[in-house]
Amino acid sequence: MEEILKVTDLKKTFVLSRKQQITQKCGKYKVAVDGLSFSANKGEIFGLLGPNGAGKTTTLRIISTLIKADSGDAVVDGISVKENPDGVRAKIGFLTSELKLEDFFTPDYLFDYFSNLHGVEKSVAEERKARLFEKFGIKEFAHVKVGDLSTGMKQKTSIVISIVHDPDIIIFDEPTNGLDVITAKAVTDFLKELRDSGKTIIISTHIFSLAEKICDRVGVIINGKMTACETLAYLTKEKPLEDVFFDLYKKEMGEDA
Amino acid sequence: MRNILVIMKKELKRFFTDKRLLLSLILPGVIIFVVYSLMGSIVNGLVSPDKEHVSTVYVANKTEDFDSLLESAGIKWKTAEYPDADAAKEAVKNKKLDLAIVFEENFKQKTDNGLVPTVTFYYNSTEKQSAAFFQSVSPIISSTFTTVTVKANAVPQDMATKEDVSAMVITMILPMLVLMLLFSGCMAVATESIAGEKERGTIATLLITPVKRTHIAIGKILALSITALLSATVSFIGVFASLPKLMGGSGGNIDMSVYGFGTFAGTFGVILITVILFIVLLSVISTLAKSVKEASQYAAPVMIIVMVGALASSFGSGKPETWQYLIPVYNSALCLKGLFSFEFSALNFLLTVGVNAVLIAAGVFVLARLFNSEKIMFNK
Repeated sequence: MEEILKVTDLKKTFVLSRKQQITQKCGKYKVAVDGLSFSANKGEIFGLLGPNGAGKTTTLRIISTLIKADSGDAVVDGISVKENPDGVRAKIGFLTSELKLEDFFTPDYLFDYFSNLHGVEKSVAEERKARLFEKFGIKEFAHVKVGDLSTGMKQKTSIVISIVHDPDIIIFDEPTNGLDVITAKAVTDFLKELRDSGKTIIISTHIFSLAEKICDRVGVIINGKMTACETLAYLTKEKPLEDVFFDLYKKEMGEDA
Repeated sequence: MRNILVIMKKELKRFFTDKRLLLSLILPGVIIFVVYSLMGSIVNGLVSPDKEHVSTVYVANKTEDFDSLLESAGIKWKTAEYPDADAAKEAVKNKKLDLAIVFEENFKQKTDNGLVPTVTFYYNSTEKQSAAFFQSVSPIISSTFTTVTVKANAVPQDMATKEDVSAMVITMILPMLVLMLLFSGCMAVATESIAGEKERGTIATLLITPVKRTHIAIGKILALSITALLSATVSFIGVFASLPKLMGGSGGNIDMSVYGFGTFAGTFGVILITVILFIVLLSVISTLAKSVKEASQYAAPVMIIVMVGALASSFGSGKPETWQYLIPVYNSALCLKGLFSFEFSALNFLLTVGVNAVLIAAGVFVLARLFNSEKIMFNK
């Protein structure tokens, strides 16, 4: 197994605004990620599983170089996010519902635009566009402005655009959130297909069934800490994933749970 | 470099294929032209002299050929008698008399002997017939007697001649108007492109690509500057085209053709560097803001500062000191003022461009740093 992502002792603390301090009933600082370490291997789907606010999204954002860790490092295919964020960005495709596409442009234009920014050769980009648009059924609305598309169409377009440069590592924050079952299935099938073609996929989710369906390995995050990081088969040897999670949750939270 | 172009092209496409946005950029210029022309025509109708009016004039120490000079120029007038020049002046002030002309004693003899005698005009600047009559008579006198000092006294105490007034109005109004138009044009596009993208979450999609932050900043700034410049040019044409009409009432003889290619090229240079400065400034403001609305709120006080700078240059009397050209915005206004009053100095121009260029470079650096800051880019 070739290790392609290595996260070591990641820490991230956010300073909360006065308003957040009141609504979240906590102090000035919120530790989002607390000494997190894990690694992902080439050609697997790795799932970060945890409740809301556990630190999944923060971890993925640090790996994607959108935010910086207070300490620790993540090395993506040999490149450190600390030392060469631009280099890391060229290696990964990052997808989250927070990354939006401009309403004014068409999927066709945006695909070309991002291909250009990633420096993809024109002929390669054209071939890739035709293939991906065909696969996701974007062809029918390739020339409709994003603003006029439905949520599902937008999500499909976002997925395609996040991988214009054919990255080896695809990071996907809550991949099926807000999607209907048909689109969700198309997305999960595509993720499996990418894995089978040798790509590495890191997803975050709080949906156990999704993790059970597609993940090869799972890391359970609670309160910013990695409480378990094993293969799915090993974790669910005795109990379903959900039960395993609650055992871990009780252990971590102690009597509060 | 290639990425700068890619980003620039996309931004330009965004602006130039959106009919609504494009209209909002062009419309101010068109509205300015229509409103100013209308205002001008109305004011013009109020102050233009009555053609039927026969002007009255008092002349002290009248030369023999005075009557024939005016007759040959086709001017209709009546001579009025007053005991002395002071009484005539008083009559002008009270609008009883249109014009009082005082030739120096032995005027003809003095001009014949090559001396330079004085002719003094008294006219009422608040009275349209009086001002118009003065404007038609004084050139005749000054062109007939080449060795003469023409003193024009507007009564009540308004020592400036009408030509001076209109030239002054242009140099006062133009820099301020131009800077205001530039700023509002820049504000519309910069807030939309940066704060708007931040608000809609589309800038994060751009930040996740391996493109350097500096390149994103430069690409955006260039595209925004081009767009703002288009808006500014339309507004500027609107102002310029309507100025003769607007000023028609007070001056009547503003001739835009006196401004040659050099003036316009210089103006374009000043406008260009000022637009880029405004765009950089507003881009930084827009980046710090969370939404378009917030960006506009932040930009409002900055607009007031720009207005003050432009206004200050309008009222500043005398020749500005060189160091004053080191103050941004104010230096642009001074340059424009200088260009339109033919007091252009290459040193001051270069100082203005230099200072602004340094600020622009600093702004690009700051902008790239802001794009890199998670606190700024992801503060929801």
